[in-house]
Amino acid sequence: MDTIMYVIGIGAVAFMINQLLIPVLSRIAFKFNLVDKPNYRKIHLLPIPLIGGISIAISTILTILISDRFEIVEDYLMISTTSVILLIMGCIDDQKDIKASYKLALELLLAISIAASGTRIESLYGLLGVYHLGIAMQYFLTIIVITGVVNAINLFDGVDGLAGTYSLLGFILLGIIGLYIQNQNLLLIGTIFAGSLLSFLRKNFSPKKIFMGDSGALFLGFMLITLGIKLLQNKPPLFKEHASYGFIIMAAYFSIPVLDSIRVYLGRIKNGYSPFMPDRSHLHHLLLKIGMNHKSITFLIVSFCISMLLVNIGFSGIFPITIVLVAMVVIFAAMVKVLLLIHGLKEWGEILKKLEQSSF
Amino acid sequence: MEKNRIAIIGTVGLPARYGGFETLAEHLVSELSDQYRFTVYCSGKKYKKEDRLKTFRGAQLKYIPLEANGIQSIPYDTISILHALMKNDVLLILGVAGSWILPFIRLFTRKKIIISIDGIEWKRDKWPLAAKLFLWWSEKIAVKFSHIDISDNESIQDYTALRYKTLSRVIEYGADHTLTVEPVADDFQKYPFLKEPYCVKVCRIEPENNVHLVLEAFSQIREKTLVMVGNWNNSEYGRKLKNEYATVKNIVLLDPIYNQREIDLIRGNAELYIHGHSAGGTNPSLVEAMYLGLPVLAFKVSYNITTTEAKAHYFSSVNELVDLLNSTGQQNLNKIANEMKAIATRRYTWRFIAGQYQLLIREALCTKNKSNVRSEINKLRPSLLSEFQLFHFQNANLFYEK
Repeated sequence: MDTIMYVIGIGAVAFMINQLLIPVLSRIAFKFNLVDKPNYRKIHLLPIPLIGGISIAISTILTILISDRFEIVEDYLMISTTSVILLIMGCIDDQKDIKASYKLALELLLAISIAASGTRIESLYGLLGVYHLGIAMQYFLTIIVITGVVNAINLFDGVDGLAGTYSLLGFILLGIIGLYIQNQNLLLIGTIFAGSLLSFLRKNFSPKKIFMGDSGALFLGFMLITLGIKLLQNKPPLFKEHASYGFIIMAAYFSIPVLDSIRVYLGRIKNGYSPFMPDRSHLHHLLLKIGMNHKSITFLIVSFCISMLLVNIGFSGIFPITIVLVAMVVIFAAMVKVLLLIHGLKEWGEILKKLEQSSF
Repeated sequence: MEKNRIAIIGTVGLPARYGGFETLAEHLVSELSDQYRFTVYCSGKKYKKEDRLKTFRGAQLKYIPLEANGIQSIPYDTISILHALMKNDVLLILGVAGSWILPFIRLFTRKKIIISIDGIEWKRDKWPLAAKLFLWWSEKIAVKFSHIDISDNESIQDYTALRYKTLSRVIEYGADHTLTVEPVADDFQKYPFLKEPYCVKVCRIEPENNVHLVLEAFSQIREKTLVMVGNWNNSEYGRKLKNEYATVKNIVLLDPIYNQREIDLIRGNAELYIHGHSAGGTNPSLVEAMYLGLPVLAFKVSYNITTTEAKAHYFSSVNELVDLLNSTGQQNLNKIANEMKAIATRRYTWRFIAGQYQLLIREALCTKNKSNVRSEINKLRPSLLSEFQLFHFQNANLFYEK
């Protein structure tokens, strides 16, 4: 087992490589039109390089090569290759805007190949009384979950640092679990990605911004969910006494983007629109309308995620899994309700101001 | 015939010593006690045991040991409401703090509820976010679950029509309890400014009432005297302003005066009334100034314009106020004063206001549902309307669309 110093060192290496990589890639980005141009819907005003995902991927690969730990990739071969394919597709999309149906088709294809390679959701650990799943159900569920989560995380990329910090949280979580179950490779993957992400976030928050774009969000989202699913299949099982712990932790972590996306889709359908119609009703949009700035929004949402994790871990020892997950959805719904109330308050305050000023 | 029993809930209590609602309650009781049996709920904290009355001008008084304002107003109103259910037919509730319980009352009892929503409290900046959310939600419950809701200004009626699509009733306040006071020798000694013409403003010292704006304007016009009465020491804002303007010669800052004769002495003998309120619907202080026959310069906001029927002059900044003070001649001021007095005599007397409340109570006793903003015709199917060539009724212009 590697020492702590070694692990931190590897993370630092990833950090530094990415720091050096980003300025180089930024300049190249403009030449290849890999930039995000502002429009009526977006929040920023200057074109910004969309190289976050690529730089994280490259710095990760370079770190692995430098540290001569190629077995990490071998262990997670399928996951790595499919993620990289997704990254490349994301790049092309950032450059030339591929049709949504093609993107979806590729995501499904990659999800199927992951499932076929053996990484599947095999059990519901007692949710709604269901335990082990049949093979067809495993495939179906795995594909839906991967595609859904990846897209939810993509939609999460709306304010500075949100998707980045969220992914950072995820990789740190994976690293900690890797340490706990003495899986060297997982620990190292977590640390390397964490290092690269820290470097990305530094730039993301600074005035000389870069974005991760669709490529980065899809790449990171895909890595996180597939690593998570593979983790659940770990032999020996993760938490012997409470087999559902692992499932609950995964569910709690991915809950916020997923529940938010479901809420937005349902809302759009209820109002008669297509669920994919672009509008600004996601969680971070609501918080922006209230007047919070980007950093506060990121902080708030990630804190919310951490508290969901803690609450769920706390509950899962005492209550059965179904209740824990239902409680999670209820808590999320309550928070969103409060947010919408505040939003309504502000909106009517504006309307009132106009009414007060109009004389006759 | 058996007299109906009305409970008045949400005021600090009688005899009235505190504010607009209390004065309203006192006059309702005075004017209407021959027709109804009133019970008024009072705050035990503000009326010491020795001073408490059992009845007042024909109304029963009940005391609740809580503050009527602030966060204690929630249990204060709730307990009053629950107690009032036992022996009263109509609940007249002033303020929305206890409205969370109204859905249950509609569900389990047949008592009639009239609620006055008191300006638009949730917009006030003095409340923290949690309080604003509570008040906003409470207002919604109050309007949805009361039989009749009362706004004290037409502009607020516009707002409730817009937001809730129901019709609020507008009932303002009376002002004829004010006295016409001729100053005597003692008065001149106590208040030397009475000997010369002066302008007056009476209000709570809060940023919403634009105290700083008025003070700034008068510090630029040294020839005119300003007398301002208010609770200067109650807030940092007030103390700061008092310090800043204490040395300015033409500005006299007085602490709160509760004696009716004294405050009407100071107000009634002024040559001009400045009204800086920017919120809160119809302000009792404004209607009182109008009844006293004072010319009015008011802050330009829809509530003030409605109260004065657009016949006063209005300002929205220091410069505009200075301009008005300098350029409005005596003839113009007299004209405005006459208009104000005419409006007040017509609309703002307690007999008239109590009469309106009486009509409202009669309506509450026989109504079932709250009236919608749109007419009954709008509830018919569009296809039916077009069959009778009445489809244009769907496009009626509503009163609040100006």
